[in-house]
Amino acid sequence: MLDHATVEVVGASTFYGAISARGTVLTGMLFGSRRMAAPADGGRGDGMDPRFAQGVLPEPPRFELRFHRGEPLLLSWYAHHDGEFVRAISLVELSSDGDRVARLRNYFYTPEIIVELCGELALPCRINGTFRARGDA
Amino acid sequence: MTQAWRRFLEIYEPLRPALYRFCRYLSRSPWDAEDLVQDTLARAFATLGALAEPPRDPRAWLFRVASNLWIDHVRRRGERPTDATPAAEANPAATATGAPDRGTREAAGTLLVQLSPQASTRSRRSCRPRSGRSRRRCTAAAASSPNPIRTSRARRRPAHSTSSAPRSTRATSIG
Repeated sequence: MLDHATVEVVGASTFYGAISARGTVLTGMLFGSRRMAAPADGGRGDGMDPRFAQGVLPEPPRFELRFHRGEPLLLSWYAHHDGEFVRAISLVELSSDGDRVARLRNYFYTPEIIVELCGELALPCRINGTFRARGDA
Repeated sequence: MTQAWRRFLEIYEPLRPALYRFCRYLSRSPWDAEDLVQDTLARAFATLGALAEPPRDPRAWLFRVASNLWIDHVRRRGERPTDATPAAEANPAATATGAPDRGTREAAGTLLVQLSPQASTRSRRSCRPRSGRSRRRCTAAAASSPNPIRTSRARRRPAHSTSSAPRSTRATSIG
């Protein structure tokens, strides 16, 4: 990742630089399921609106790269009680030399995009609602 | 501030799915649609604070904000709203390989149908290949002529008639 890379959780937050992204968005992408999962499932249950947990398990998601609409999509497959579902889609833009990430856009709080693209790709998905500042949820 | 935000969420948040569909229709791309939704909600929230009274029809007002933002965006980009994106959406594989996609073919077909008969006749007649001239060279010559219609008529006129077209123009047309 470039030092001046832009990492964005669309509709929620944007971070500039690899260092700031590493401790926030990237950590959330990898280990956010611990906060998403309900306490009964071993998670903390404080990372999102509980209505949208829908049986997610506190396991790191599996990432899959797919090309769709001429763009590389990084699909995040989250484990659930009843199987794996796509819950986030990321767009990755590489640097001009092609070996580093220049921009990453994580579509997690975008239910319409997740439903539409998973519909086009014929993939099972679950949505996470939209982002609301803490205290407004 | 918190109260205004809460009220905004209550009134405008439920409109988000419809707003996305509207933005999707405008932009023809899910990524652009999502950006437009974000921009619209941000603009709407900022604008609401400056309004003397809230809009009577929040949905219509929100869609109008989205339309205006999209028009601004397209103007900045310097292209028409229907350019490129619908074609890429219709057949992304063809666009990636550089093959003419359906949208381009349809646009070309529409153009041909709507061309005036005079123009199409002119181009066909003026570009009839003659001995020693290729069709491409003939087409190039017709395109560079200052008045191809007049020169084409002059060429068709019988040899015994008095021509008002200047000889130099005719020579340009013939190339």
